[in-house]
Amino acid sequence: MESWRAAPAVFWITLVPGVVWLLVFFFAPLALIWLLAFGERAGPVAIDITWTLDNYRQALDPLYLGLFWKSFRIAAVATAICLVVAFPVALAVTFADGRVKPLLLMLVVLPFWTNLLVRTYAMIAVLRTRGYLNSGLEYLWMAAKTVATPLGLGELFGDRFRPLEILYNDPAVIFGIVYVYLPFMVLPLYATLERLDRSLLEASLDLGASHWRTFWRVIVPLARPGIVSGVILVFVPALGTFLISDLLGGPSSQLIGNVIERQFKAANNVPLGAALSFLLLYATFVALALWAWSNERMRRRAG
Amino acid sequence: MRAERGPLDYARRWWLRAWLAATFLFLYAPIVILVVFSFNDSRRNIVWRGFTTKYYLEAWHNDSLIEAFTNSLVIAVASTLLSTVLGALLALALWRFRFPGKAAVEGANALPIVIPEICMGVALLVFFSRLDLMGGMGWPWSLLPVLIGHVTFSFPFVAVVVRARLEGFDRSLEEASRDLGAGEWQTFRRILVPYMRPGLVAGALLAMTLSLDDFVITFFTSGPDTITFPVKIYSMVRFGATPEVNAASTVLIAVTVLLTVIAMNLQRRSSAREGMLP
Amino acid sequence: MSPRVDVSGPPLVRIEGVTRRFGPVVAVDRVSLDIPENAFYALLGPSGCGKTTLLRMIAGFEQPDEGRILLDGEDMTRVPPNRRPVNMVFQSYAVFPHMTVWKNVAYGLEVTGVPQGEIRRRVEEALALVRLEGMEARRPHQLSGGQKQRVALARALVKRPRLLLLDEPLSALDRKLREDMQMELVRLRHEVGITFLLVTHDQDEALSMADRIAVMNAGRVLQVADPRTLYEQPRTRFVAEFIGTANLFEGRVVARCDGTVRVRMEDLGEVRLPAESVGNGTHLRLALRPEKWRVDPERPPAADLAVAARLVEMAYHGDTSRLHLEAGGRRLVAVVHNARRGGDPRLVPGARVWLGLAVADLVVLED
Repeated sequence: MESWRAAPAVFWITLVPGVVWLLVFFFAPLALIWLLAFGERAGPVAIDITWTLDNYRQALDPLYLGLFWKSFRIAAVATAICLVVAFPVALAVTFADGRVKPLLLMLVVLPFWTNLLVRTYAMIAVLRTRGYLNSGLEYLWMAAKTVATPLGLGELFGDRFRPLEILYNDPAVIFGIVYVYLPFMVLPLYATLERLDRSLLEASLDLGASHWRTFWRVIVPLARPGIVSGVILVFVPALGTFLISDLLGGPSSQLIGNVIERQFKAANNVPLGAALSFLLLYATFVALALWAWSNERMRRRAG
Repeated sequence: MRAERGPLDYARRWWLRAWLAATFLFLYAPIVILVVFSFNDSRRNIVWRGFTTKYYLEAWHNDSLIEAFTNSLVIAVASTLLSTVLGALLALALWRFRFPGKAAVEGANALPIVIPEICMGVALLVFFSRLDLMGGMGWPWSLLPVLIGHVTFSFPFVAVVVRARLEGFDRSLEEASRDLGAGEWQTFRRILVPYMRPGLVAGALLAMTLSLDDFVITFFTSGPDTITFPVKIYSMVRFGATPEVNAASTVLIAVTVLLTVIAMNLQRRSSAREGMLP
Repeated sequence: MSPRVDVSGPPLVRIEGVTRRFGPVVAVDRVSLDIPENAFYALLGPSGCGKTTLLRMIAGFEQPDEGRILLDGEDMTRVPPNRRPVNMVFQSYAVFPHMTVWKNVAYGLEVTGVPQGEIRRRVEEALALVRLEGMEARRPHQLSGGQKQRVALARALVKRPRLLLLDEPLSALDRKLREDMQMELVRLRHEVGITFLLVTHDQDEALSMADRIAVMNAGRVLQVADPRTLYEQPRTRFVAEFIGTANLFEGRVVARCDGTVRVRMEDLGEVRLPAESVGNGTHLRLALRPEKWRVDPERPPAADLAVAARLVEMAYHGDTSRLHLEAGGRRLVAVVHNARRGGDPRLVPGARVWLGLAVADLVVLED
């Protein structure tokens, strides 16, 4: 790496376009809504910046705070499920045979390249009352009933199949988040496990630890960076999700993202929406700061 | 020939295989069902009634759908070109130079990647309406807000990908080129750019897919006549799941899968050429 | 070694008081050197001694903070690397991975606008020179380390540089290949008649290939000489110990008379040295190469000094054996030829032996 003074012309030509673009089309818009969060509505479009704190006060009242808490809970649960599901998957891919490994990796990555909307829509088709899951269950129910009736057990099944109400509620939203963001958890886990020196595992087994203890005392601690990255990669977008809860959630499972969207579109309360956006942004920063802090600590411990 | 299972052959334990299979079933079954039922000859969409392609024809004759598709393609191509150039330049600057405020630029580049999409979406919405860029211009200029939004969240990804590639560059190649008589520009064009190419291709394809796939930011920055394909599907989904939506979604899946496969092949070929693969 | 080297003529490269600092570290400290035309010149020193930095300044990749570098009498200090008639073989070879062997070798000619026909002729010639005919279409990842090395050589030689720089060119090769390449480099130099400047930390490499060697340590040049002089007449303790092995002794002047000086070597005994080799001090340091000892179970009658020692350990090296001995409370090292004295069955650990030396083999060091 050289000092920028070594070739100032090259330096400015390469640096300026990207930086200017970010300043104009990223930081200026963010600064704008940061300002608007301190404004008051003075008409259908006009907003006066009065440096009022009312919007933040309103955003922090129990109604919205409860929504934040709920978004946080749902994101946390979904992240935890992702971690539990993804860890064995990452392990299996890491230790897979050299020939199948690229295929397995591709199978993990491919859904990530498939449109978020399409995947959420596929979930609707599976989960809704007259969806594939319920149809499958109904088929099983009918088959079981046909078998059970001659045995005199037909009453156990009731006279009509009652489909499960599994769409338009909180579990559906969690299910959708897990479905959409699972690859984000698998990939960083795989990346750290892949780099893990296998002789460490062999040493642990050689020293008499069982596979189970080796997993908890060697693999998991060494996979920490991957776990933390995966958790961040799932948790941050889950916290701010708006599409998944919009399409899969019921009227009661609106998350903070949906409320923000409504302020900017239907409700047209831009100052409140701006305040809520910035609260969401700050929450994200806290998560990222924790991540950076954890990384730093791990690096320092490694020397 | 099957060797005995070694102690570290975790991948050959049955429960791990079952877990893997169940996960892939979970990931793929909904998509496969969606694709299969786009060919189902039934409005009710649940029971298989026979093969048909009529929903693809219906989708083809749905003008607003085609218009949305065209918008998506135009935006994706333009956004890919711009993002690749902007991202590659920034990657070069960050890779090559030490300068005051470098950490700030790196942070600024990471920010669009990490902040919640909805925050960026609403910020751009307010920004563009203040500038009076939302509506009022004829096509294709009306696509400008969406395009700007897409470039803003795409090029930082390109910068990250290209820079990661550059980090592996052996600076002695550059010195060897200078030593053999090449000037700075010749060295850039004949040594550095060929080396960057896999990163550029990967970055460009990433930008393309991000653009084709984006819903949230487009949802906020598009006006009534600048709908993109995902936003169009969204409004169709809100009216209910119909076979046309399945057909349209299948097309979108096909396009992105195709792009991904091309990307992976290109990458494999270039790494094979450098001997990183056998 | 090579009689054609003319040290008296004007040098090809003249390095004048060159200093290069990296922050607080002085990598190269006021170095002045002349590299004669047609020499196989080596910069030898441990890693971090500044030899690579000096080489990179000659190539133009580093700028000296002070001093000048002249080539054929012309100041090159501010000339960019691509305008210097100097080419380099990199330690990592730096063979372009995205080009074939042919393209790699042709690169330096293409970028400087040499006509196609001439490029073809010269590349063919260069590939023949390094014996890579038939490999033109290969890509670097299909080549072995030794072949990549040859591509790097051909690529530099095809430019017909005034000076060829070799930065630890053999360090990545295994031992057998390294020996072959050493021969190959010596042959090449005679064929092309280009001045070679080799940087290495490997004393064997420098001794066997170069006809002049500059030994560097901590940014300074300690001694410049041909290999034999360097080995037989090291001027400083560092050179004596870095090149080969040396037994070092503290000496104290006991008396001076008739052009000879009586010097007491620690507790081992006294020797008489010619006065001109000693200087005026009362304390001096002496060095003796291990193979100069005459090792004998009996007291040697003809030696200038004989020391009674106990054989502590013996390491077998095939052609020679290395003996670790103890005498007068200190450790000594001797090397014997197995075909001669080393085969003596009385030489076993624990044995009492005599060590004899000739005064002519003792070297008086400057520090």
